[in-house]
Amino acid sequence: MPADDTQFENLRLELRRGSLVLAVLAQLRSEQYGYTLRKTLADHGLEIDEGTLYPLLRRLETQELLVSEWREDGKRSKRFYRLSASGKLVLKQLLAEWKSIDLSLNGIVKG
Amino acid sequence: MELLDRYLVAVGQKLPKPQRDDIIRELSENILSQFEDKEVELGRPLSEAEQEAILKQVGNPLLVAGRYRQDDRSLTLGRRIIGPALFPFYVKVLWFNSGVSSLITALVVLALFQAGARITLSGAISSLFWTVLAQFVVITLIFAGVEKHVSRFPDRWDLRKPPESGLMRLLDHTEPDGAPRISRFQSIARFVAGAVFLVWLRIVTHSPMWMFGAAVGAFRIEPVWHRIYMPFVLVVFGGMIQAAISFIRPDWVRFEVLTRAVLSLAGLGILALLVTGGPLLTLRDAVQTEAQLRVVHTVNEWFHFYFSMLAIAVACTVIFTLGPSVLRTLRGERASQQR
Repeated sequence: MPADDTQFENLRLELRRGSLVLAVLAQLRSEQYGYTLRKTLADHGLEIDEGTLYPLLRRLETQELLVSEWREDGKRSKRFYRLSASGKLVLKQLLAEWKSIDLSLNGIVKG
Repeated sequence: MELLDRYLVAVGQKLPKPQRDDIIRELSENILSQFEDKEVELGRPLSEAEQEAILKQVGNPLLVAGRYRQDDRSLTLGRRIIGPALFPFYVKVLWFNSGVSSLITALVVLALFQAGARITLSGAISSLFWTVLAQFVVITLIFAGVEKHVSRFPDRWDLRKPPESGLMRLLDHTEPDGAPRISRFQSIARFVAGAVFLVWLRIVTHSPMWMFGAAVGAFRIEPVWHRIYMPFVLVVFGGMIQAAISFIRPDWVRFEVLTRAVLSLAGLGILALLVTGGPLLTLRDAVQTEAQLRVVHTVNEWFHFYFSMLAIAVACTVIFTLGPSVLRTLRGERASQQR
């Protein structure tokens, strides 16, 4: 990969990192298990590889923003995640921040 | 599902024990969901090659496990020098080598200072600084070389035929059939630690003033040091040979446990000689003042105290860690002979 591409890739990953947390929290307002969550995000144009998603879910659960439970679904037992009470509050604050950043950036980019 | 099971075992081996079962259960569920989706899409069961293609997408077991680890640390100087897989070994070797040599340096400097010898603070700091820096540079260079070599092909892994080389295999603690084995990287780490320590020991023995400053010039090393020097070098060298053999034959777990026990007992014997062998240092000058005698007395007391503590630590390791391992090993051997 040429130096410019590497630089772009690093910046792109940096930009995506924060957005992914927001997307995961927003998507988990309704309960889902890991695999369907990943597919739903991909359907919305936000591809996330499982090596990133599952550790992220664990981290958000450790931070008490998510709660999870193992439940039978179909043939197998699956781990379902949903937003916790504090997760809902954090999501609300993050969305407000996101809208404010979006507004500012639009103003800056349009000049 | 043999391929998937092997994949999950490979990931599980590199995960921290407390979270292992939970992570593997979720990872397994996720992969099975992918298999099912693909089967629905194709309208038939997946072939082994198709299953393998999905597992390849999930990623190298070592890297997948690395992402779950909370202690995902590495050494980065502009670019990554030592990755998270080798980092724990690197830190262990660094702590052991620079810890032991710094402790000896600090002990000598403190003993000289306590006894009233002319030791300046800058001289003491400089002795410690050079000791730690030299160890850090040598160990980091060796590990950076190993990282560069073994990370050249991170994606070269095949679950149907586990590779005999590569980072994943180097870190494995079990054979593909589940039998225990010694991590090859652990053997490399032990070999490196022994080699660096021997070089340091050689420098200290031949040029103590370079390491500890001019104050040590007043002392003469007593014959007890010369008596234990060669056995001590042999014990460290024996440890290196054992590490080299374990690298070639990681399945010789009994050999590793027994030789470690023998080497630890030999080390204990050397420490006992040092503690009971009378004064370790005397004054070089024929005419000795009371102040000089006090200095040498204090230095000897410090050394005796330090080696006594070290002997207790080694004895505890032998009794509580190595002893049970040896017993388990011998019992296992007897049980297999009876079968």
